[in-house]
Amino acid sequence: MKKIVFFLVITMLAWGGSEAGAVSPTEEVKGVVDEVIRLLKDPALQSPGKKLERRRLIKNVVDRRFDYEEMAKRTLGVTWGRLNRAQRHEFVELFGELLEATYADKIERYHDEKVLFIGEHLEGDYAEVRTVLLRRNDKIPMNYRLLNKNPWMVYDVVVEGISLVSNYRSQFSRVISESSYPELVKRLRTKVNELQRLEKNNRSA
Amino acid sequence: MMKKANLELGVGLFVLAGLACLVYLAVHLGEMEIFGKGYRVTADFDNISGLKLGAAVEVAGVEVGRVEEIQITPGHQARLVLRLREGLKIYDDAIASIRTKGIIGDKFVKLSPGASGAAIGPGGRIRDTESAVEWEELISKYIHGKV
Repeated sequence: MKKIVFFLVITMLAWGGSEAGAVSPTEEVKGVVDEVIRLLKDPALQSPGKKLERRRLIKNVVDRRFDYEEMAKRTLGVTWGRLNRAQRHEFVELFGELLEATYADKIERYHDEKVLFIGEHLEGDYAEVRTVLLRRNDKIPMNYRLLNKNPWMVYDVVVEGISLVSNYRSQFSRVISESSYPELVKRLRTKVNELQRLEKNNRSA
Repeated sequence: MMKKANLELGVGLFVLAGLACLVYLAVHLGEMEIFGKGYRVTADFDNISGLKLGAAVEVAGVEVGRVEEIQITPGHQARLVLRLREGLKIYDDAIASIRTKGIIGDKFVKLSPGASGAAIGPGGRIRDTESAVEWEELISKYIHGKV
């Protein structure tokens, strides 16, 4: 009897677990995109003084579904395996900052663009969600690649056929083979600082 | 009588040897892989933009294989069958990209083998791909300005 009850409980738990995690990749991406657009449109966050606040809120939304560690791992390739925990942590942080500094500005230039969801391609624990960013006179295909880590997490973004991970992977491997990993970290740090300074100047100007 | 038979046999062998040489030349000059060394993997692309059968597959600029088959999937994607050199290890975070040699050169497949630890074996599939970038479109956007 005990065994049966135990078995039932386990099955229910497993079932409940999978039910709870049964949000499709498209829904995950849509959730993030809708939330970001809502924040960008929010009248309460429009004033220049609220810009930092708004960026923080957007970053929070994006961070929940973007797997920076997976991205960093994929961009570094073999080198990732040679790093210790502290180094990995440092790199993931830095990579996140680089992405923020590079793309935040682009996202904030939002002017009523629409995002169309065209479809998704599922294969085991991997998925690709296809979207098109509709500008007034332009269509930009943007595909999100996700990995099921319960929930689905984005590990790559492909814009106009160009993959973010592939782009950084070839750049990073070039720097590492020309010089070394510490040099790459140094360059990334410089780049992030430069972008952040530019941003600050723009804001005060 | 015996002599004549020997002569005919000799001529026959000679012709066969000649044919064998021809086949050898054709295979090697044409860079065909009849006997198919190495292993096959597939990869799906949105657009291969005129990539030809037999196009090179490169890792770090080194040719490691060829495009053996080009198919179209039910979802209207291009499916490439790549034959890769024996001993070349690729992992499941590998990325295959369609690239052009120079600006107007041949199309080839650039392979970034990845390092996740989970290898893609014979018959496996490279999941992450990048389609051909339409240089002309990008350049014209740049020249004529984006609307």
